[in-house]
Amino acid sequence: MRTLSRSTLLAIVLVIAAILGVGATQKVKTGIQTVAKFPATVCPSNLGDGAATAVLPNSKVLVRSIPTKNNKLVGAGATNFQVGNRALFVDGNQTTSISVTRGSSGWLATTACVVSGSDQWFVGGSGALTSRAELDVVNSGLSSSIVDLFVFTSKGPLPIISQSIPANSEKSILVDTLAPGEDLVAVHAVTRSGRVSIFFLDQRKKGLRSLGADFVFDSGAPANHLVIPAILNIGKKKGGGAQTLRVLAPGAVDATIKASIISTDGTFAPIELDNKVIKHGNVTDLTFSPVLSGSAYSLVIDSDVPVVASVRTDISGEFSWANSVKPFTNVTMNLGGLTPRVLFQGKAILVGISWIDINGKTGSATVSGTDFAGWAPKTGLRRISFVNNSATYGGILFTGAGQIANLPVAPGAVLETAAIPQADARVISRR
Amino acid sequence: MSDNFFVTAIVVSHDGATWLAESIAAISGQSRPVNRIIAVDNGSIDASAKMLSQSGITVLQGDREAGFGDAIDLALAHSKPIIGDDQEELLWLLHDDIAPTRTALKFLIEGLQEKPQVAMVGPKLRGWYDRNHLLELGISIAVNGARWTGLEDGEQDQGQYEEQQEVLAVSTAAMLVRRKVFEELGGLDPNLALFRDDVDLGWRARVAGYSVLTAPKALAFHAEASGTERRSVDVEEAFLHRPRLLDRRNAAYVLLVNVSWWLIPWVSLQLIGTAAIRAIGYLIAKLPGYAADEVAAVGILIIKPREILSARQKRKAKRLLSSRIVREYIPPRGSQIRQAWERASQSISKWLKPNNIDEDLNEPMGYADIGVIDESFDDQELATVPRSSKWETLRNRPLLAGLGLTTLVTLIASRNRFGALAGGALPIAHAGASDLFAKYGESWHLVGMGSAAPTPPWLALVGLASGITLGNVGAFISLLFLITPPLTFFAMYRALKRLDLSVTLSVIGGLIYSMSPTIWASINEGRLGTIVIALVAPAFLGISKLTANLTSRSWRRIYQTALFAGFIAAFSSAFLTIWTFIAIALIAIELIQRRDEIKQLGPINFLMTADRERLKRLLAFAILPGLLNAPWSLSLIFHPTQILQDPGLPLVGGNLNGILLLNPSGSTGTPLWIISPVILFFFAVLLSGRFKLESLIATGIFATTIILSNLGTYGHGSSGNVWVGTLIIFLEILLIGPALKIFRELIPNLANSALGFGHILTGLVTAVSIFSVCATALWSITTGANSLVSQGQAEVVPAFIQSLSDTPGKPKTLVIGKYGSQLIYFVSRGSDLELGDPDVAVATPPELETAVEELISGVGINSSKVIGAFGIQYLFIKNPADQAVVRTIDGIGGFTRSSATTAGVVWRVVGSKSRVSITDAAGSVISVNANSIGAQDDISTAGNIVLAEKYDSGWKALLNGKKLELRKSPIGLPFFVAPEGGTLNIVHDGTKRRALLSIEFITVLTVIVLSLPAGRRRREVPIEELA
Repeated sequence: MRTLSRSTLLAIVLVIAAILGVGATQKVKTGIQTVAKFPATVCPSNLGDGAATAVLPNSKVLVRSIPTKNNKLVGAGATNFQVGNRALFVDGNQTTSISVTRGSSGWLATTACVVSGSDQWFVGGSGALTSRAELDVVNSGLSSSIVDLFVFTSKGPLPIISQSIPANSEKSILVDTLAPGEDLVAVHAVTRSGRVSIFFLDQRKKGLRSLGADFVFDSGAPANHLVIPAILNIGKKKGGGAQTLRVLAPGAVDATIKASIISTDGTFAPIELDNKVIKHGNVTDLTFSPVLSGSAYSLVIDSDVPVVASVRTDISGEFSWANSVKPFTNVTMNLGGLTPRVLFQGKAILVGISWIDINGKTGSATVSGTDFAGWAPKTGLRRISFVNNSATYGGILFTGAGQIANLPVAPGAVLETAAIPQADARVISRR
Repeated sequence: MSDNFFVTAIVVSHDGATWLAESIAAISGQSRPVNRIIAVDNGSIDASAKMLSQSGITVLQGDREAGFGDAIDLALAHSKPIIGDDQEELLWLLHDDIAPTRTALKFLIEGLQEKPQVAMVGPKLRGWYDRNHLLELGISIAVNGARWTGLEDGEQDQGQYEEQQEVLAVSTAAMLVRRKVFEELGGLDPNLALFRDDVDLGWRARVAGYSVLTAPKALAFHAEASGTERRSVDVEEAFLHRPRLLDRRNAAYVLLVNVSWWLIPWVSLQLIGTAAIRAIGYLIAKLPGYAADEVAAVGILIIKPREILSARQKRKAKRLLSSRIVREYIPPRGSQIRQAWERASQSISKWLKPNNIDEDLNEPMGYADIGVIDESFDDQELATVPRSSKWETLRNRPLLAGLGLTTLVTLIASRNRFGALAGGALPIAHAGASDLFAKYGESWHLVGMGSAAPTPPWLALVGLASGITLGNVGAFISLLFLITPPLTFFAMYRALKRLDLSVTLSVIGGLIYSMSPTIWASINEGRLGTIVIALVAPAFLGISKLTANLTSRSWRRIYQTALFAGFIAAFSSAFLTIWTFIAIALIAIELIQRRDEIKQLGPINFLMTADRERLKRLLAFAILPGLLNAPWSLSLIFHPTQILQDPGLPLVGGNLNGILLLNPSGSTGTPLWIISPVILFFFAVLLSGRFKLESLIATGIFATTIILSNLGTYGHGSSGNVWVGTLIIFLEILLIGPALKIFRELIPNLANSALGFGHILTGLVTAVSIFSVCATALWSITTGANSLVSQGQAEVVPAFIQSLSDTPGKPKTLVIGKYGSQLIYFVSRGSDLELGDPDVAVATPPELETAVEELISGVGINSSKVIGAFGIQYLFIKNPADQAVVRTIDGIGGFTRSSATTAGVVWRVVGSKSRVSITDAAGSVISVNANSIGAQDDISTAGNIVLAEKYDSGWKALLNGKKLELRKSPIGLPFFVAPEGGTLNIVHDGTKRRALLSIEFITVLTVIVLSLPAGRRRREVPIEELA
């Protein structure tokens, strides 16, 4: 057999080297590049007779009030930013700003500053005489927007109400104008266009006496399985009474629900909430009085058809709305010195917590458990971070002297990953 | 002597010793003797006078600077006229380089006899050297001054002109003229010392009512010594002794003094136009002296109008008939064009013959070589099959069969490509050729946010080539894509024939090439550059021969090769780079090899005195292709990534497996199972060990192809894989020839040997080749017909936005769409991407990129402001639109929805600026009237003038004639500060671009001229070629 010449061998080696070189460096060439950014959020203005404070990540974060003339973002200048009568636009940040509203009568209401949502369910509030519930609709965009409001009452759904919100403006809609005299209300808000953030404050009075206030959060889309992770057990509280589960089956079929209370005492189904039929389209309140040794608990609702739900807890001169939440992953929240009481619900809870307290000291802890677990710091916190990789639901209770407020463990704005659009002339070339 | 004529022969000599001996003998030996011979010698410095006198002829001495007419006048002055009732004197005017046959005078006289109206008669003139070559049977003059004989070039006398005929004039070389008429007409015009005096005399005789006849039976052989520059022309009027100058001047003179007065302007225009065209022609033929003659001839007449006026006065006195009576003897323009066309087509067909350059003269020529029959005829076995069926005819004519097959395949495969093509890498071509030239010349391109990138020269070449379709570029491209398969087949066939392969093997090579996956992938993906290269590059097959014998090659050949390389480089920057790199490497090798010589002589002496022929030629190779493509080629130095770009848009290419099989595949390329046989050829050539240079180059190209195919690149306004199809084409061109040669030599050996490994391998290669050609043909007419490139594709930009592109402001639209799953965007100037646009498109300004990114991600609350500041007035999302993005844009604000149709959704950008605007101190924004690129307007206020174009140092603004300083705004836009109101003029300064293009144009013209065959001065034409 003829031997290969030196040049032939060299050629073969060269080609093989090229192939190997390419093989070694071959990578995904057409992968889509993405950009991850936290969108800007909006904190509500002073609602009801309260004064709102936006708890910001730092004093340098860029903000602007809504409306402003020039729409320029400026440094906040303070971590606890007194919002005043104009909503606050907060530049995107990985930590969630919250809004803390304190009423003149001492009530406390908290909510996360949120990004716009296109489809929100607010289960709570009232259009009755004692209520001064209001929807605060903030359009932070530069073009007008339209929001459709689907109001459900104990008698069924009301006709759709569409609201036009001018660009860069805020509009307050009283619930009693949407559902006059209706005590049981749930609102489904659909944003048709625009960058709209909606807050729902439920404030109640009886004559001149304040009955308290709290934000009703977006409960998320109707589901067959709902978890309301943090509910204060008022059985042991002075002046405490019954608690109310508000449920709505928005579909065309009646729902049969079954609720379980999960606490440090274990899991049980209160008789008031067991196998209850909820007429579709009608907002239903179910009162229950759990007897527990623990100070707080979670409520898990299972239904044969998708429902939305929330729990109202009344104490003397104050009340709060606890809404169903979604499992959380990693969240950092600015608390502005409030002392949280964090409750988790899940099959296998393993949550890492780190914090900075009001003195600037840092700390960390790991919370673990089955079905139910809780954690509370000794002092107030500036910031708290949660790291979680399991299907765990979390909620925060703020309690003080005659104050009760609820905040879900959920980011005000999730990291938005968008494909980076690429400048490419092919887009204006045919085919 | 049966006639009543007295014949006086007047022989005029001037350095004619070469021909005079035969002439004297011929005149003396006439069957009808000459009655009187007078010779006039115009100051000959050779033995002419002596020869004449020794022959017993009376010789009169004329001045050396005297003309032919002067000599005749001198002779007549010394010869008394014969006056008598029964005898008439005839003058036989004779040049010293003419040899009449023995019976010439007899037949000339017969031509006059009993025809009193005939003033003069001329013989049939044939060549001195080729004695059967017809020179003249009477002469005339065309309206552009050309001498007209009505004969074809090199026409042989086969007795086709044996009848007497009326003509305008006959040559004075052997003219027989009645003396009384000659004197009545005033003889030859003294202003026409030489050349065209005969035409003038004939014209004057005609308008005086006489006839001029030819006597074809009278035969003379004429050397045309003055006309062919075999002797010097020393007449007084011959400025710088230039015969052509004198001929052209006299031609113009004859026309201007003889035509009707009202025709003078028209004739003058024709003379000037023809002189200019001829001058250009001579310049191209590298005969600047002749070019100068053409121009100077007309110039000399223009500066001496009095001479013409005086001559016209003299003619008027003797004119009995209108000048228009000569019209029937003036050749029609069509006949001149037809003759020029025949000459050109003969030259082209000669050039197109495959073996015209390297043909071996020692080999016996076939019938095809002498142009009797088709080339493929040589390979046929004759007389065995007297009658054959059509199929057999095709089999016997493989070239015809190959052309037929490729044509049939392309016609079926192109069923979706009859019309304006677009798709893949190819943008639509709406423009005409002039638009492409304009685009090539402009310094600022309205593509995306604007670009000052140099336009690649292929655009101008395509514009030039679209002359074939009367300037319709779209039609030209459609035609090119349609005929690419048969043309590539033929190009490879011709190239292989030059490599001494038989017709059959050349046809096989042509089929493998034209049906290669790369060719079809190029067609289907709109790879214009690769297609052009595939058509022309096979001619490079002989390149190894060229480099091996570089010093023996003429400079014309070097310029031709450099021009050809420059042409290919215009379509492939990678080729330009590789070519230049190889040339530089060869220079380096040459210098290294001669380092001892350099050391010995010193670098300066080496450069001044050493033999540098090879170096100079290599240097021409290294420099010229780049220079021919400047300034575009220069931009590759500063933007080397552009080397990896091919004309048009980048696309996502095929995978490594495909490249290893020499199939660039791509989205609509041939499937991988159609294996290209060329990959087998590669190994066959490599393992044969015979074609070392080809193996080395092929290996280098193959390795480069593999590496480059994996690279992603951004450029031409888009991103994609490096297109390696062009490199694969070069690989195919390089390998098909050697592989077929191996095959040719292997077959006889295999036929005579026992079945073995060689048989199996050869069988495998053959089977793969047949399968590949057949499978590609089948694929291309079925699946392959649904290519990216097709006609009738929907417009991208909505019609109402397109209509805005007609306005001077050309508002911009941000178009967003999807390419696969990738969201992409680009700024449109109101129209879809057009041919050449991607090649000048540059990166979008980063500020705009950020604004768009933030817009899409929903966090850009100020996106509309930035986008508006860039003058983008509309935002358009193409369908299928991503509804999440639509919602985001709806929600983010600053965009007002204008429409939502099946094409997509359009928003108007709130508060967008016009292309040129001024912001005054109060913050008010006022639009400035923009023109196509810059602006010209009167502004009423001071302020910042912002131009919504990409920043470039070429932007210039003049306010009231004063230059304003160019600045850059925080978002990267060019702006000027106007201190006051006034007249504003904003332009993009293209001086540098124009200067570079001028250099390029001059270089191209020079190299073209230098590479064209050089014309020969008449005196340089060998005697064998003369008549």
